[in-house]
Amino acid sequence: MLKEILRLAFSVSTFASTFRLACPLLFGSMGGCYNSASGCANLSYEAVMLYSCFFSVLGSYISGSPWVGLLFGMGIGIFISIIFGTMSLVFHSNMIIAAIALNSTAWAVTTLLMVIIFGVRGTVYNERIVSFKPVHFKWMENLGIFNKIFNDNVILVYIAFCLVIIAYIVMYHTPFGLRIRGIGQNEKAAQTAGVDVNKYRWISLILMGAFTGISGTFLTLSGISMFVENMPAGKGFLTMISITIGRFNPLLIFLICLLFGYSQALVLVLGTLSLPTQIIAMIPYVAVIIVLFIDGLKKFKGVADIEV
Amino acid sequence: MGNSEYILEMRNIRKTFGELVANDNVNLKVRKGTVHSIIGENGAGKSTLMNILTDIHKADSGDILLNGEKVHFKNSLDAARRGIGMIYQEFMLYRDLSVFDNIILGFEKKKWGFIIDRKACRKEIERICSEYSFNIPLDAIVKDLSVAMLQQVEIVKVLYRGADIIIMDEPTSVLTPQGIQGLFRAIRNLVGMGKTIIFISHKLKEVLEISDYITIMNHGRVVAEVLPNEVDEAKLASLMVGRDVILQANKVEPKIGDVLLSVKGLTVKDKDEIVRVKNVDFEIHSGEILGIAGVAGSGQQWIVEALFGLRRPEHGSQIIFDGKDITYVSPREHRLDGIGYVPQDRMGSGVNAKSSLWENSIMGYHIAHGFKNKYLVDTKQANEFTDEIVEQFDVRRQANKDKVAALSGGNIQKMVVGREFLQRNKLLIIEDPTRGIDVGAIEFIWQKIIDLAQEGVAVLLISHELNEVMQLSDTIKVIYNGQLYDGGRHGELTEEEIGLIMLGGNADAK
Repeated sequence: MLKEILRLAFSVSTFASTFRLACPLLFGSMGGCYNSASGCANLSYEAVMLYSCFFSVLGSYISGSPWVGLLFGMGIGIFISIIFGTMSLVFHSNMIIAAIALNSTAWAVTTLLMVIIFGVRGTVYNERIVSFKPVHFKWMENLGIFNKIFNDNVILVYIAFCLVIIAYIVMYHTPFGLRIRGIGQNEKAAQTAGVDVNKYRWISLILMGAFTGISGTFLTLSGISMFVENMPAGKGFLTMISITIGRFNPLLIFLICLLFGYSQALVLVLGTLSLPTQIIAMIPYVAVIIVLFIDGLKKFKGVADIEV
Repeated sequence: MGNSEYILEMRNIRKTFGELVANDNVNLKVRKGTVHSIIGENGAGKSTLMNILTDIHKADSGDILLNGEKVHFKNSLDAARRGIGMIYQEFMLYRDLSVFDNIILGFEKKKWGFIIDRKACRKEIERICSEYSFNIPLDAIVKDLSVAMLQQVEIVKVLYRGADIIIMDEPTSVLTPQGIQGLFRAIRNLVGMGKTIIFISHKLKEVLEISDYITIMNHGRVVAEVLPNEVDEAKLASLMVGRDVILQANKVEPKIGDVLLSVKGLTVKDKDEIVRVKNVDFEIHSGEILGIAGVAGSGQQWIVEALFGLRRPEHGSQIIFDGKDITYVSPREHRLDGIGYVPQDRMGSGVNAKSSLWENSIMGYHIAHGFKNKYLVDTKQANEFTDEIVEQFDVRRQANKDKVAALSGGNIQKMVVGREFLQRNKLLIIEDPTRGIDVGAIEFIWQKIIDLAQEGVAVLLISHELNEVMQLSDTIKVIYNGQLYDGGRHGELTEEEIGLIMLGGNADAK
């Protein structure tokens, strides 16, 4: 049994799905890392992702094009983040509470819209919903395992990987990234440097909405072409966690997303064995706890370290 | 442009906050290429005036003229673009960013329209550093640097932003005598190159030394404008406070008792495993004031953190307080045992700026003294204690329920000092008790420290103000590079001799 588990855990198909499963986390975290770096405690990823799941399906259903679905997904993501921004940045209400409110209503609202528009509960499936098609690269064919892992994915997967590099450059090599990090560390200092703190917070928030919108779209339109109630099922939270543990560094976040992707891939492949599904389903969340624990150990020293 | 004798004029500036008149028709004229000091007690309106100049606050009425031309700033950035740079008392730095990033943030040079051109920025900063003789580590992370170094970073930062008028708010409050001389050299250098410095300070000796012109403010008004050669310290102090003050501690013969605190082989590492305190031994008797002098960042902070249980000392260290081993006990137990603590960084560890004055006043007090009711906060008792602090330490506030953030730095310091001094502690650990407060209050706090010692309280005084350590301490120790050296008894060594040990000049004479 153990041998079988190990064989599956290191199989090519596990790694191939690792990259696909890391993608939704990657989009949200690469777009959202600026928002977190600016000192915004935004927990609304789950809501944004769920809304964009639904609306991307709707966009694809109406138009028959996954690109319109993507546009719908990003649009609703931006819209939800604007609602969050209005509550937190304009009315200065508690961000945690604003996010909890959004997260709790998202499930109800999307289910309601599902019943109204599609007249079904549980799952929306319709042949008019069109997914992105996998892209085949001829030059990869001779690359063996690399080919099996990377070839024949939807375009969004490749975009996600490019995004990591772009996000890194933006974070560490542009005035935008530098100012965002400055705002997160000392808002008043940024103000005295003439940085329009509010403007940067809004931009970063809208980026978060747009890219988490792509995450939602990826969940629905990367092959399965359907919407299920509460579809992200915690992926929004995983996105947020990877940003936090990665300390806003896109490269670190990337590694953590891969780890979460891998643990979700394990859930899929080990599910084929006769193991209790409950235990397998725990893997991603146990991974979170382990990562947090290791991260905490690294920082732990003495009775208390006063961060001034 | 340039046809005026004054680079900066502020005319009839008036600013009110509610009922409080912070600036009452203030006039200020600053000549180009001079050091112009503005002095006054806490709450005299200096900071407000400067905040108006840098457009943090808008004046209710009045005009600002630059080079004889009336200007209206749209925002602080606009003021910075017009060449007004401010160095705040609480540095405006980002602690996890590099020095380089701190300097360029907000004023980045770009290539290809969106990428930071680090090379061009670095060239510009290096040009400024060599032109004005600054030597700062551009790639170091800000949190790893000493206060004196951070101040240089701040100066380079405003120069990088193109400042012609540099406002320095209490710049010497955290520096050693050598550091202050270094700063003064830098200031003279800057002035020599045509920059104008507005120097805000409480320290009259320094003001007399560095200034070309002195403006004295009291209660929101300008009360006098003098030249430094017309006045002396006593005259300035009386103009500032409105009465005569003595700048000498009233030191009396100490009543030294038994050993209260005994520290043996104290070694402390920071979180990066770097040894910050090496094998330090000392004893404090009840009734004794033991002063530790030293350049900022020599290890003072780590000694204090270890003594108060905020950081675990290394194996082999031993701290005995009143016959009890307290090497590894929590700060809470230190409070219960009767150890009080006035931290150096009042905003970071001294108060919670977002909560009210009364809540801050009872922090620590509630542990050591409790309330009549075990489970509920007794607001009456809390307010009584707050009022006691406010009254005895002259904290200027509107109501006990005001947020601490609304008070000025000096008033917050008085509140923190008052909170620790009014509890019945056996040992007080005091770091920079008079940082950023005015002469009248310094005189008062010094007297309080001496009175406490007379009552039998042991005092560990750690100050970056060498004069303070020398005036107050019965026993003087000097810290250099994590090791403690003997600085003699009260009055045994001169300021220069101790200054030399602070710089490691006496490292083998332990």
